[in-house]
Amino acid sequence: MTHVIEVEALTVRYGKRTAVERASLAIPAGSVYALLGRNGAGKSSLVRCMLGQQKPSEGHVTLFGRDVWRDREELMQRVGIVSEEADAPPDMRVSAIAKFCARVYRAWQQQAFDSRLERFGITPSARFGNLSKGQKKQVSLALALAMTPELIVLDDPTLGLDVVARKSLFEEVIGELAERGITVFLTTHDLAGIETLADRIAIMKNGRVVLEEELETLKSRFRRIRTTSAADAEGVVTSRKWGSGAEAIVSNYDDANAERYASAEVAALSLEEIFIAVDGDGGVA
Amino acid sequence: MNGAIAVARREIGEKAFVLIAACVLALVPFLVVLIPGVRQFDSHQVIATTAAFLSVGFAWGLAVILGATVVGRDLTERRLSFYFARPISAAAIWFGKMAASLLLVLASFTILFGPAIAVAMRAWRKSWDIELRFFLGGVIGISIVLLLLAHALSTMVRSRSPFVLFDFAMLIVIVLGTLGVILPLISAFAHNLSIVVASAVGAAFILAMIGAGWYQLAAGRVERRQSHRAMSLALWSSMAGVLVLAGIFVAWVLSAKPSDFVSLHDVEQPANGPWIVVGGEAKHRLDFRPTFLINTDDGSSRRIGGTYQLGMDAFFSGDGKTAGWVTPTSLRADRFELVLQRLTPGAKSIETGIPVRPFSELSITDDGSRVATFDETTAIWDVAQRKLLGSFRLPRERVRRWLSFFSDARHLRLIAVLADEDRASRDHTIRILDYDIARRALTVLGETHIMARNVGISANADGSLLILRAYETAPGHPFIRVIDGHTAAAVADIAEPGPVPGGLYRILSNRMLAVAKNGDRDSVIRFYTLDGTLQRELPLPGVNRMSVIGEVAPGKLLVDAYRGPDVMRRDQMKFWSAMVIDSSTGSIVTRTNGLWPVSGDWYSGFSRDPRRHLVTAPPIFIDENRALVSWNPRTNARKIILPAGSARPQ
Repeated sequence: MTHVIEVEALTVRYGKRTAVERASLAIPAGSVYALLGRNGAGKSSLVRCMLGQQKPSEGHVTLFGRDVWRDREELMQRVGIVSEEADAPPDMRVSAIAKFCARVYRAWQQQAFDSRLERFGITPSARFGNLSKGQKKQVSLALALAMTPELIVLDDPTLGLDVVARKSLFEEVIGELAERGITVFLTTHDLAGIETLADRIAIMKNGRVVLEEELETLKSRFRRIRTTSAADAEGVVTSRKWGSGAEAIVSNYDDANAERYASAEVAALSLEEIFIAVDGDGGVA
Repeated sequence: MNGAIAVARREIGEKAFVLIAACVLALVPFLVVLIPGVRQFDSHQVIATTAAFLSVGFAWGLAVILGATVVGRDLTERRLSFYFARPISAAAIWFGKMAASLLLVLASFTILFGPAIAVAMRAWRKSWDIELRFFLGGVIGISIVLLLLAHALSTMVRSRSPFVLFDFAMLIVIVLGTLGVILPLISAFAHNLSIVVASAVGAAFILAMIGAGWYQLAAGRVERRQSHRAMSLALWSSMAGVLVLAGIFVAWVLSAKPSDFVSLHDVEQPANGPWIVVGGEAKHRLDFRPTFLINTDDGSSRRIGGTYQLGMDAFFSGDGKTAGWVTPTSLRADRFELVLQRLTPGAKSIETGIPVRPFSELSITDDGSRVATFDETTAIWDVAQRKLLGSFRLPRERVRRWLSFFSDARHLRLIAVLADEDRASRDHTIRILDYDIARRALTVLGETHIMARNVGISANADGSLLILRAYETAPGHPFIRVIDGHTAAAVADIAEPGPVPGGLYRILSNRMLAVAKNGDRDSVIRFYTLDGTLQRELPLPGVNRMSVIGEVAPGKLLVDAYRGPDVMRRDQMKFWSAMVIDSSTGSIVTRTNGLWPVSGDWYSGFSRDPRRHLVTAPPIFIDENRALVSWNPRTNARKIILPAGSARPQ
């Protein structure tokens, strides 16, 4: 399997504080990959390193098999980026931003940009700084898509988007990209939105990647078990009292040990529930 | 390039409003002339002056603001990722942003200054003492510096990193390092070279700031502290490298050896001893003019402070065992002290602490133990004790000039040449005074009068006899008079048939007076007894000019003769010859050709001492190969002091 992004033992330190510690990821070509984590988990630092915008303290990142720090300029012809915070100059008009991008991207599609902008209902003559947070995201997305990317990196793309726009982003945009075989890497807090789209996820906690696997596999091995005693369960991630018995979330559920829980109440978990179980205090994957 | 242009266009587009502001402000110089109080002035001058101040202020202010924000604000507001998320190189971002900023500054300046200067060009030329191209060059140059400095400072401050302490420390190191590199050149009076080195370091600093800005974006990218760190490391390491190179260059300059001389401006030789002082221009060292004490016996040398630029040559004491020179004691090289060097093996130079002003003169005892400095007051110092022994003010009224020497360690003999203010006055008074150091008393010993437009004075070795040479004397008055060096009483008048050029007379062994006379084609040397009787003369056919080098043995006079075109050719040694003449026979004892003298009467350093000692050291010449040589008149042997080609006379 070819990997579009490979992150190897990446560490980022700011002075004495370690933001990312020996993180390793491999994103297969054509997949939708979601990096999850609470605020301050180290996602943005990892993304900046992944895009060659920041030099890691240790480790290295390759995009399309090339060192991103060294070959950033050339690689960015193939990568569309929607950053966490809108970074386009606020005094610049949207049309001017597009014009600027048209000069630097070899495969710029002005028509695609215009039609997407029209669909979002954003006037090209508007100044970027005057747009709402959601509109800024939409412009950034339109810019990222108009340069015909092979990989698109979306750093918390739903931040500031209303419900409709959020739904549109996940169902139309990401879905469409996935269908076209474009690799999508995103960080998000919108777990419900990504649940039906992501092929693979990783969860970061305190700078470490604590979980990284296929979403289907992940969902299949996590179960909520309600039983008389938590001691009856194996592979417990978290547990608590449940009436006279106990409720545990296990991470090693499969057909082989299904019989063990024949007398217990077993329920599948949503991605959000898994995330909370893993990322909550005391949670282990 | 495409990326840089795109970035520059974007930056200009974003900040185009400053050009509109400049357009509006451009009207101000033309509106100022309408103010009632201003109408009384020449309107063109008002327009030119207002536009100059306004445009320079606007341009430099804008340069500072753009420098501080063009990268720094994007960094702190996390908007630099807009560029780094695109296929644009760090170099394109940096140079695009800087080019745009500079263009905005220059365009604003042109908008503000251009129309006004077009209207008031003539007024500009009249009222501003600076050529327009230098003014424009200065504005552009300073704008670039301000832009870069503001960027660097902004990066340091905005990072809010303790690394700024490193910057501060490095700034101090670089400033001190630059001073450390340049000060030795200033101390050595190599002002042009110090300006060249300082300019090179300054230019390197600008280039280092440009390079550091690029490296900041290439290695620091969007992370504020990494960005700061990258810029600082690039800037300071480049500057450290530049200073090391500059230091190596300066060390190389200062390491000039006597063999590096390509021309000489100063050769000082005492009457006795093997030491000489040689100063001149060294290979590839611009205006660094090293001066060396050279031992002509063994060839050893050491560089000493060169004060040629201040008209203060090095000098020797009468016994030839002490050399002296002055050295600057302030950073600006405007205050000096006397340095003495005993010319004995292992002796270290003595920084006497005796202050000496530029272009002043001094006297030193024959043994080098005491020094008199002549300034507003005359001060007498003991060298060993670094102590002022006495001081007095010389009368200035009617004084044309002073000569002086220590008659012994306790007495300073002073010879004043007095005349009326009227330059045409032929009545000169020669007054001899004595300063008793122990009593701190100044006494007039005697005086005499001589009728001449000017008077030259020299003395025998102990100063007991003075020869007065009259220049443009009155009819019936002597051209040369010998007087007692203590009482000023006349000893003899010499009835020379015509004037005697300076330096061509000498008392030999207190018995004989030699007078050399240059003719158009032929010259002559006459020998008189001290009562004024002509003893004998030696015609020198074909000799146009002569110079007296000194008495090289009792009664034996060394002269240098020139036989060549009327316009004296110092570059053609074939016209020159040195000869020893025996005063007792009036004949040439020894003769050698192709030597041009660089020591003799014409050298006296900045000493006021009129005495002429018996010369025992082989005199120094330049030979036909431009080598500095000594010639021993007793043995007729030549010895090369500096190699061929090094001694082109200046």
